[in-house]
Amino acid sequence: MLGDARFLQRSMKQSFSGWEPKKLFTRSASGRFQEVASVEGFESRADGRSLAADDFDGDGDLDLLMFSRNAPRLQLFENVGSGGNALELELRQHQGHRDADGAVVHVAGVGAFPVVLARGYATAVSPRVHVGLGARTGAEVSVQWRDGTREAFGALASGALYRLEQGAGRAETLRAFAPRKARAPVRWPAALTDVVPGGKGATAVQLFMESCKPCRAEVPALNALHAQGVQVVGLGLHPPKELAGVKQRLGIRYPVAPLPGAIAEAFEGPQGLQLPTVLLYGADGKLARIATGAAKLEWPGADASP
Amino acid sequence: MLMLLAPLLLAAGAPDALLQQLDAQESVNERVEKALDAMCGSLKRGEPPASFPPTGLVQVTSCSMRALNLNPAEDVSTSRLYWELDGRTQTGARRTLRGEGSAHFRPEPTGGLSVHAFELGTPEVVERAAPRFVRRIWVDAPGRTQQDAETMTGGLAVRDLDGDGLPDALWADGPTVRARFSKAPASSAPVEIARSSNGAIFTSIALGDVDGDGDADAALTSYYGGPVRLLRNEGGRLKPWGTLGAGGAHHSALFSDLDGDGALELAVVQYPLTGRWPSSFLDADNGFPLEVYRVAANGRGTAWTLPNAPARWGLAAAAGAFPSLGHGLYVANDFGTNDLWAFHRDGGVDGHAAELGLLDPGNGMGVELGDLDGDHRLDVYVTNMFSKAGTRVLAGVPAGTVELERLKKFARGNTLYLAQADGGYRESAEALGVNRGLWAFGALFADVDDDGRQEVAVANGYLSRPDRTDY
Repeated sequence: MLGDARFLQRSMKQSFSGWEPKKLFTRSASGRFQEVASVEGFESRADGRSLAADDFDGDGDLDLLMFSRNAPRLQLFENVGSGGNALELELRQHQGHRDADGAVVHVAGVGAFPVVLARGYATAVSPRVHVGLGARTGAEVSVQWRDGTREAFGALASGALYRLEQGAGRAETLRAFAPRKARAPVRWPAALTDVVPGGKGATAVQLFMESCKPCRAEVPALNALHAQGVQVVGLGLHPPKELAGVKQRLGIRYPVAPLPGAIAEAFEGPQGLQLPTVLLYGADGKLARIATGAAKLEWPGADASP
Repeated sequence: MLMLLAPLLLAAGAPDALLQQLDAQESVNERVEKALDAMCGSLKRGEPPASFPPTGLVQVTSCSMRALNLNPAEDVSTSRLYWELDGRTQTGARRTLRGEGSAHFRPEPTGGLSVHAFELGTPEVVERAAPRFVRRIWVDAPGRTQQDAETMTGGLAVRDLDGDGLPDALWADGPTVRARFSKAPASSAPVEIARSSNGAIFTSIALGDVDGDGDADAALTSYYGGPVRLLRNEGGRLKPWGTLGAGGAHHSALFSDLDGDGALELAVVQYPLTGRWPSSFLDADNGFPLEVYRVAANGRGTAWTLPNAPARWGLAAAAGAFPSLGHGLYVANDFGTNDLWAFHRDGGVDGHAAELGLLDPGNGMGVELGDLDGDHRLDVYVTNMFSKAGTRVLAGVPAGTVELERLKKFARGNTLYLAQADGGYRESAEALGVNRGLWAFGALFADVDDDGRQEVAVANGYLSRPDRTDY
C-alpha cells in the first residue's frame, strides 16, 4: 500500500490494481483450490474492502455482502444455488463473555468453527456459526468454551438454528430454516420466434430502452444494417403507446415493438440478459450471436455454431 | 508496479542495466496484455474478429487470456497463452472452454500490438450449472473518493441488531454511519446512525454485547474525528452512550474478551492514511501503536497500557483461539511484519507472532481465522497483494539477497498458515492455490455450497479509474 493516498488521488489518471475480479476459491478433489468466482456469480469489479458472510434471508445458506470503495457501495450476493445440508449455532456462555467470543465449536467429521466478532478487513460479524454438512443429515457437536472446558451437545439434525448454552448439555432449537427458494426458470430466446412471433430468416433483434445510452449508440449501426436489407427489429422496454415517440427521438428507422413480457423476464435472475443487447439470428432462425454494445454489427455472423 | 518496485530493487542491489532490461520487457508485456485485453473485449461485446476460431458460444460473458512465454522485445510476433472463455451456447446453457493456444501479433502504427491470428488448440469443455449467487445492489452510490483518506477504508458490520432473527447491516459512509435493517422494505433508504461533527470520516464499526443484555452494542472509529464513540443498543436502536480515548489515526476496531475475564475489550489498529510515507517498505516504524480499551458493562472504558506496542501501519485484526497459545489478537500490518498479542488479566501483554512463525512479512491487509482444512485446528489466512507484473519483474532479478526474498512478498499474494499438530504452522497458500487474491482486502472462509468444506472468498481491487490501464 502507499501511505499517502493523496498522491494517488491527484497524480494518477490510470487505475492502480483496479477493476479486479473478486475471488472465490473452492476445494477440488485433488485438495487444491480452484477459482470459481465468475462461474458462481460472485462477480464485481468494484474495489472491494469489507466482506461478510451471513444468512440474510434465513434459508440456511450463506450469502455474501461486500462493501466497496466505489459504486456499487454495498452488494449482496444472494445464495440461490443448490447445496448440502447445514445447521447454525448460537452460543451462550456463562463462564466468560456471553457472546462466547473465543469459544470453538467442533463438529465431528467436518471441522472446527471459531466464534468471532470480527473477520477479514474492518468487518464486525455475528458470533453465530454456520456449518455445512454435505449429504449428512446431522452431526455430533461439542464446544470448547473460553475457560477451556469442553461440553458435548450430542447429535444435532440439519435444517435448523440451535442455541448451545454453557452447562446445559443439550441444544435448544430456535427455529427451522426457511425453505430455500426454487430457482426461477429463465426463458432463453434461442429461436427468433421466441421474440418475434412468426419471424423468419436472418434477423437482428435489438432490446432497448430510451434511457440506455449504449442502446442509443447502437442505433446508427442497426440503421445501416436495415438499409442494407438485413431484417432488424427493435423491442423496446416501453409501454406500447410511448414507443412511436421513443422511436422518433432515437432516430430508429427499423420496425419496433414492445418487448414481450416473457422475454423481459430474461433480464432478471442469475442468467439474465443485460442491456444493451442485440440478438443475432441466423437464416435458420436460431440464435447465432449476442452483441452487447458492439460498435459495429457485421452480419450475418458466421462464427457461432451450436 | 515496476515504478514502485524500482527503488526497492535498487535497494536490493539490482544493477541499472538489469532494471533497464526489465523495464523493456515490461513494456513488451504491457503491449501484449493490451492486445489480449482488446481481443477479450471484442469477444465479450459480441464482435469477434473474423479470424477468431469458432467456439460454439453465442455469447462470451467472461474472458481471460494470459501470455505464457513472452518472446524477447525484438520478436513479439507469437506468444503461447492460456485462455478461458465462459459463456452461453445457442440453447442458453452455460459452458466454459479453456486451454493452451497461441496468438500471433502485428504491430500497429500507434506502437501497440493487435492479434491477427489465434489458435485455440484442443480446449477443455465444461458445462456449467447456473451461478450460485444473484447480485443485489443495496447501495449504488459511489464512495466519496474526493476525501483522500477514504481510498482504502472499509467499515462493515453485520448482526441482528433488532432481534427479528435476521442480520442487519451497518457501514461507514464518509462522515456518516448508515444502516439497513432486514425488516425494512428493500426499497427504503438507509438509516443514518451517526454523523461526525467535524467532517471526519468513520472507518469501522465494532459490535459486541458490552452490557450483557443479549443484544449487540457498537463502537465507531473515525480518522481523526475524535474519540471512539460507543452506542448502546436499546430495543434495536443504537443510542449514544459514551466515548473512549482521544482519537487518532483509527483504521479498524473489534470487540473481544481479550483477557478472558468476561468483559469485552476494544482493540483499535491505526494507519496513517495521510501526511506521511512509510519509513521503510519492509519494516516501517513510523505508524501508530495498537490501542486497547477495557470496556465495562456500564460503557466506561480504560486504556490498557501497551508499553511495547510498536508504531505500526495497522490495517485489520481478528481475535480467536490459537492452538498452542489460547486466545490471541492477530494484527495485519502494512509495510512489515504482523503481530500476535496475548493479553493477561494482570495487565500483561506479550507478542507471539515470531515464535509461532506467523510474522508474514509483507503487506498484511486483513486476517481470517478458521479451520480451512477440517483438521479441528484453526488456521490463519492473511490477505496481501498478488501482482502478475510484480511476479514477472522479481523473477528476473538474481537471487541471493535477503531483501529480494522479502520483496517477493509484495507480489506473491495471500498467506495461509495451516495449523499443525505440533502447535506450529505451515505456510501453504501457493501449494493449495489460494494465494492469488490480487490486491486483497477482506477475505473469509465460508461453506457457501454446504458440502462440508469451506470456500475462501476475497474482496479486492485498490483503485479503479475510467482508464483501466494499470499504473
